[in-house]
Amino acid sequence: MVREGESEWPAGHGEDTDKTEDAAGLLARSARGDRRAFDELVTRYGPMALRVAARMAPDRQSAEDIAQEAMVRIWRRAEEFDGRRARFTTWLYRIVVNLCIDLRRKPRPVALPEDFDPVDPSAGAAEDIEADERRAALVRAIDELPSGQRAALTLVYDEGLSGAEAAQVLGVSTKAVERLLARARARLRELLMAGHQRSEVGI
Amino acid sequence: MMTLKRFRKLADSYGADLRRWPERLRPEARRLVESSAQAREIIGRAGELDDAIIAAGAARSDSVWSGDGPEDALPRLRNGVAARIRSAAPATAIAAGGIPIRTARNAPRRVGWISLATAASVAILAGLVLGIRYSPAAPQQDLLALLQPAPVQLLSD
Repeated sequence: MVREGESEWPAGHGEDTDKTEDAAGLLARSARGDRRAFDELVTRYGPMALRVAARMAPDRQSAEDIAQEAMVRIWRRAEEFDGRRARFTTWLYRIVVNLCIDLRRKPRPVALPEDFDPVDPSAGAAEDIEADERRAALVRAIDELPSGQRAALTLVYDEGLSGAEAAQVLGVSTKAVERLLARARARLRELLMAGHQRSEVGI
Repeated sequence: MMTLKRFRKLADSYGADLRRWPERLRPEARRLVESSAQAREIIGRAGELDDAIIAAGAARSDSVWSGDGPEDALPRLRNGVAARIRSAAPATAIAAGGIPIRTARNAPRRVGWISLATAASVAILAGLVLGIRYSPAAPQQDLLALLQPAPVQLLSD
């Protein structure tokens, strides 16, 4: 059994890994079966996969499972990647987002993680509690957005992709991404406005 | 020239940070923000929503990782991937019909040695067959004569 922090990757398997080698180079070596090159790829891009998955998946375990599945798929299909046609990160984003969308399609109750505590009882000020409640409502609203809107929001707002890049990841036009974002924002704005109105009338 | 209507539509999608907007539209959008109070108002409202969305995203991420972060999960990811690609039967891939096929990547390296050895064996066998088939027939010799000791003077030559 491997303890956390220890690596299961074999020493001396594959060529020495150049820390400056780009993703396409590492992927080309991975396609020839070089597991050390692939480990370098996982080390570099794993946090990105985990971060995106955690924004869209229902909980931590699902996020980690999705990131792992995405990496294994990349290993299996490494030889199909064409660096002249797409960036590696676009490919990785696409796989992670599609896995998250697939997971959301499976029937399951939409719920926040068990340890999600929207209101910190130690926060004394009424404004803080109110802000926490609004944020929690917004988190719930983001969770309940349709998958496409949610993915567009994650890619553009959290990951900082341009509309065109997000369109490439999602396999839709830039206009379609604009529409997805506009619908998502309209829904969230509605919710925020409703929250403001409730707090104004003291509900 | 960008109209306020178009500007509002873009702000409704991309928010207040012009760096998220399509690159070719940014210069015009900047000019409009500088010249129009209405454009600045639109950007101000969009900014409030941006802040709320970003704060909600961060709150969700914090609750998912509960104190850790993606970097803390990385060793688990590396080991999980390593275990799966090691046990994923790298020499074969299962084709659509369920027939195992060998892929170029997964073919083991010893296949080259096996091919060389097979070719060499075939060449030797072919040489033997051809040699036997086309060599002149050996003269029939008396078995007793073959068994007799050679004459001394022949051995000393």
